Amino acid sequence: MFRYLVINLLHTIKSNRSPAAIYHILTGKKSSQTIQDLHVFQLHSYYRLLPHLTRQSFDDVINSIVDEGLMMWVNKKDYTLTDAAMTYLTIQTNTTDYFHSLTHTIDPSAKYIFTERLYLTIQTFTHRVMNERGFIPVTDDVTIQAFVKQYYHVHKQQLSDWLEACHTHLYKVLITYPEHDRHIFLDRLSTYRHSGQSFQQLTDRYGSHEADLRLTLALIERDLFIRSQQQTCLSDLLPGKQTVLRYPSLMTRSAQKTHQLVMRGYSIDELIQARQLKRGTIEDHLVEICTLEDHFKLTDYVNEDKIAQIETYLSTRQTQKLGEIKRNLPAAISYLDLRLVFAHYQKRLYK
Amino acid sequence: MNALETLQHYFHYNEFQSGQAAVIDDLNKSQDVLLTLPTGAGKSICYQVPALMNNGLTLVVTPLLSLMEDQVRHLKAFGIKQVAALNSFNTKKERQHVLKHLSQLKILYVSPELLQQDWILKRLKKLYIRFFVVDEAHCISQWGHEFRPDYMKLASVLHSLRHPTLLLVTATLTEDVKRDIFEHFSERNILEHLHMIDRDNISFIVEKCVSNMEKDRYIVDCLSAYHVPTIIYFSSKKETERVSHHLRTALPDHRVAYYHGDLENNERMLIQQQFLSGELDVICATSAFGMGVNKRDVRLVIHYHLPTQIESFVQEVGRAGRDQLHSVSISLVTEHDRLITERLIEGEMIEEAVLVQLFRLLDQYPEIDMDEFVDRHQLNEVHRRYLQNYLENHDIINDNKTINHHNVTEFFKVEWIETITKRQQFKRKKLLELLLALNGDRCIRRSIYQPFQTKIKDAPFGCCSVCGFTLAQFNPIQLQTSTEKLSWEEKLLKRLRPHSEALDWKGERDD
Ligand SMILES: [Zn+2]
Repeated sequence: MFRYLVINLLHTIKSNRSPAAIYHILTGKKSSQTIQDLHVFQLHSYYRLLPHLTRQSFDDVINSIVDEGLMMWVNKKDYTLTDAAMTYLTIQTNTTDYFHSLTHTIDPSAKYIFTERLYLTIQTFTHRVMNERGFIPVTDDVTIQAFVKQYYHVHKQQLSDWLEACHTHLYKVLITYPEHDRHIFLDRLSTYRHSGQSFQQLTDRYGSHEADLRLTLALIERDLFIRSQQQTCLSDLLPGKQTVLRYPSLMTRSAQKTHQLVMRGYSIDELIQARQLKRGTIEDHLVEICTLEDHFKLTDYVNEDKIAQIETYLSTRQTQKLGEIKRNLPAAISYLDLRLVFAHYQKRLYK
Repeated sequence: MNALETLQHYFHYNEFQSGQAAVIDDLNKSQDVLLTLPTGAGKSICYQVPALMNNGLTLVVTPLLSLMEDQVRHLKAFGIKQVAALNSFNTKKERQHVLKHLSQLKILYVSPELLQQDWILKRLKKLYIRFFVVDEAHCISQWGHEFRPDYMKLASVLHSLRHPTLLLVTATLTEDVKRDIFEHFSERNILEHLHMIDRDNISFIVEKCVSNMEKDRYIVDCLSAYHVPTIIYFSSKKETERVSHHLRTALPDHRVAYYHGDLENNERMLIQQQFLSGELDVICATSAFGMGVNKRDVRLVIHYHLPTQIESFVQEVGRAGRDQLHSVSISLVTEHDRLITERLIEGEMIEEAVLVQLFRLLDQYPEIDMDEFVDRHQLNEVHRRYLQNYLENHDIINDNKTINHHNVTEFFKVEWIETITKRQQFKRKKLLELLLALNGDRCIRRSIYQPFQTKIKDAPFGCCSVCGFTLAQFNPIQLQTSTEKLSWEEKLLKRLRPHSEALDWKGERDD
């Protein structure tokens, strides 16, 4: 299923970006570029879906997609999907069901807290109900441990009731997944006299790729998280105040500082002076701000003639490759001009 | 509560193991102690019990992150909650949590590099520190097998903490190292509690192989005859994975996994926990595995590759047979071992050429950016700290990176290069010592333990392959594992409702 996900995403970003961009979205990289990509391609619900996915696993999947003739490299970074890939995407049915939890955009950090609390609560309660005190907690995060400790004190008289309710709830959720996935989820749980299985062990047992295993777990965890926002027996494990996720706040902190100066009308050279940063960094910030902030005034940084020239070129060509555009336009137009206009143009295009 | 009651109350042991009570008595009398105990003989009890009996905080300096975390988990599992660990891998949140509760703690584990930072020292100075424990104390010595540059400053830290009682602990203490330790803490009056570290319940076998294929074959044969808790040590991460896969195919009844430093933290913990609780039989690991893993019934320790010195070998072998039952160490050696291990040693050392580059910068510039230098020469964190500390100790740089050119003399340069060359020679000598001990025609047990003690106990279960011990004489209790297929509903019920009376599954396993 991970393969389907990747091909689908490759299709979404339409060869505008290298496949690595997908990796960065899935693992939740906090770079300007990745955050721009989220906006431009509307991929918010994929952000940090698989925070621990290794680059190796991802590259393995990309390579196998190439080997099977679904994707071709145009050069080192650029790719195109083949007709076979299009056919593959259309014949994959019931994926909508499988990926239904991805139709919701969630706050990845709230999901993390919920999931870690759930796993540690299950581990703690199954041990305590058997009067077993000694076990190594599945998470080292002291704030999670502190929460579960409190939670345990509230429930210590009704451990078996809680476990029974949790059992019933998990049954209801798991039954909507393929049998294979149910086993993976259950084998990964650490409970009384059963330590969770590591990915290497699950890979051996089920012959699945590590990326698939991570995806399976992530989707079930996400499903449990989303359902808990309605009232379920697990709703208590949600983090206290649900922060409404505003992605613009994901602007890197350094770019936020630059942003304040931008709003006061600083020129590029003044920004470099005031922030004591390299020109390249300031340029990255500007592009990031341009993508994320509606009130960014493009004309403050690119003169109108240049904007017109670039937009004319863009409106006649299908390409979105900066290098190619740069070669075909007068030398006076810099990469920064291009990137800013481009970001602005994309922002409008996708809104 | 007296010491024994404390032990019984918190740790649920009936009595002390040999040596522990005497150390605890001395510590309670504020007597500084240097302690050697074989690995697994319960050295942590020696400071944990006094820590819980006395007022104030016990500070434990340990260089090993995994050990630190294991100890904290271990104590918490016993219901002792006033413990915490501080190291450079804590998240900011975790660190704040610890600092907030600092005054309520009884035991704080801390890594040596953190102890050098002002923000933490300032906080610690405000507290009453009752005991200052230096774990792996051999790291203080330049001649120790695991020299840690950050240990060079422990004496001054101790001084600034208004003299808590000092406990130095190590499992491997040679004469050179002992001299260095006493020199480092020369202002203290330290009492020695040195215990024999040889393990009479372990028999040693050295098996000469010509290739990795032969090693693989040997291990498969050995493990099919002996299905017992086993650790196999490697010097290469890749090889742990390869052999682990090989064994899983060749020995379907054995539960095998690999373990090395590149695995995610979470994955490492799961594997370790499974091995501890008997859900795994064989573990293919690098030396990263085992610190603080207190599994009592490891029957076999196999060295697929050798470590770089006898001290490490003794430590790794010492993970077998902590329950005092007969256990076996098997070393698979080939002609290439020396090359492989020499390459390891080279990787650990700073090269002379790097120092020469550093001298050039020191001569030419007003200040130096260590991070950049380390990056450019692709040095690791240990190298970085070593360089930084060396420069600071010789007053070449101070905190703001400005170079004190006055002190960058020719003598300083020559001396430093000499130190490094000497150390490299020393490492080679240590390697040779290990290879000779295992390849000579003298008793292996004697050769291995001699650097640490003059008298060596008789081995009741058989001494070594030179003295005539063969694997056929090994007759341990074998593991029985059964595989049982569960439906997902059964799995769910069993995992979530272990107390459910509908199920009677005492003692069985489901994997
Ligand atoms: Zn012998």
